[in-house]
Amino acid sequence: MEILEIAGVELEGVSACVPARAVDVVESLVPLVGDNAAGVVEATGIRTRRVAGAGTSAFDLCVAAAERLFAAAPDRAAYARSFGAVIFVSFTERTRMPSAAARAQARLGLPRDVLALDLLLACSGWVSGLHLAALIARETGRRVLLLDGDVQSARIGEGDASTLPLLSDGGTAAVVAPSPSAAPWRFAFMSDGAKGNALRLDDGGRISMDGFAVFKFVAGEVTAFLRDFLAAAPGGFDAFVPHQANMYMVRQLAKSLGIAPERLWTSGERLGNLASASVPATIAACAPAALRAGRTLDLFAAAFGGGLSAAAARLSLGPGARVELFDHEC
Amino acid sequence: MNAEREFLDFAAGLFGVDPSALSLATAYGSLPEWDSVMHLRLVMEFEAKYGVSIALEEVPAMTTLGDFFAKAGKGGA
Repeated sequence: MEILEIAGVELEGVSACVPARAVDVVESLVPLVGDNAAGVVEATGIRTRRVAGAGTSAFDLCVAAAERLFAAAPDRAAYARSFGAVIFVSFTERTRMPSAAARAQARLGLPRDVLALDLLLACSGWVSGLHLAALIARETGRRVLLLDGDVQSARIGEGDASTLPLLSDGGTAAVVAPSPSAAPWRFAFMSDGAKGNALRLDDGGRISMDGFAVFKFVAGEVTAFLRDFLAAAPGGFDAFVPHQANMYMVRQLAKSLGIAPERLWTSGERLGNLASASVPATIAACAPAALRAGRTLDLFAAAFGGGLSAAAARLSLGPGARVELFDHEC
Repeated sequence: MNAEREFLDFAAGLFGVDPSALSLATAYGSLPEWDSVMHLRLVMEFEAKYGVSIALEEVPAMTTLGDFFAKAGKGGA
């Protein structure tokens, strides 16, 4: 396993925007599975999903999340000018051209000389995007805006009882900033495209999932990958932040890795599975209660799914980081 | 009621099928009711009923009802 180390960057802020509409999963499942609905929710642990209104895109939710971070800056315009790149991660964004990153440059007032990139990635996308953002921030000495979101509800097949109880909508924004004295971050990645059809968009643009194949991948290869990562990138951490695939899986994964329940951060019970945005959304949901004055939080992030792929990161969140999760009427 | 019959009745109740439709050879995917989410339910309900713990890495290999029954320590497929 190759460990990729990047020093001299910090996570300056993480904002997560979720639709205010919270759908009760049991109620939405009853028409599909009848009396089994409550049992399904007991198994997945996901009790409510966030669902965006018609016409709302991943871009809209991500920009709303970024606006919160920008609005908190003492001089919004100067803050916007300090960015050297914007990266947009999604697999559901409707408008492919112009790219969402380019649209974000205009909407947020970023400089015209920014590097604007869209990354077509699913569940492991935020960690991959974070790695790229860190590289760019270190090399350019400028801030990088990492946007990550999906509106999955519009891509759930009619009557698909395997994805309906899980998938949710949301958008996030994270700011990676140069910080010469910051401790190094460490990353590792894995891809197994031969198994890619287990989780894909079908020809109609609907999400198709072979749940057992994905489960098998996570239980076997991903668990081993994360165990190897922890061995190769040792050291304590304050919190384990996994992709919120379903709550059974994340709890069992933590247990298999020997991580105590109190160090496991979750948000999926009430936010659902937000695809790759679930890692930053979970940070946004859980970090405010854990951040203490003057103390940096060391995080272990693990993302896995579509690709099939997995990504792991050891990163830190400084005490001055702005972190928030908010509801958005849409 | 013998242990195997009791286990198959338990699985039938979970799947919502007639117990006569099941045997220890019944495998994941052979019934429309036994999908990936039902597999998680089966693992969780089985752990609770039989007081056993199934590690995440073990779950994908447990593909027949016989695999579960063997784990209960009350017989084997």
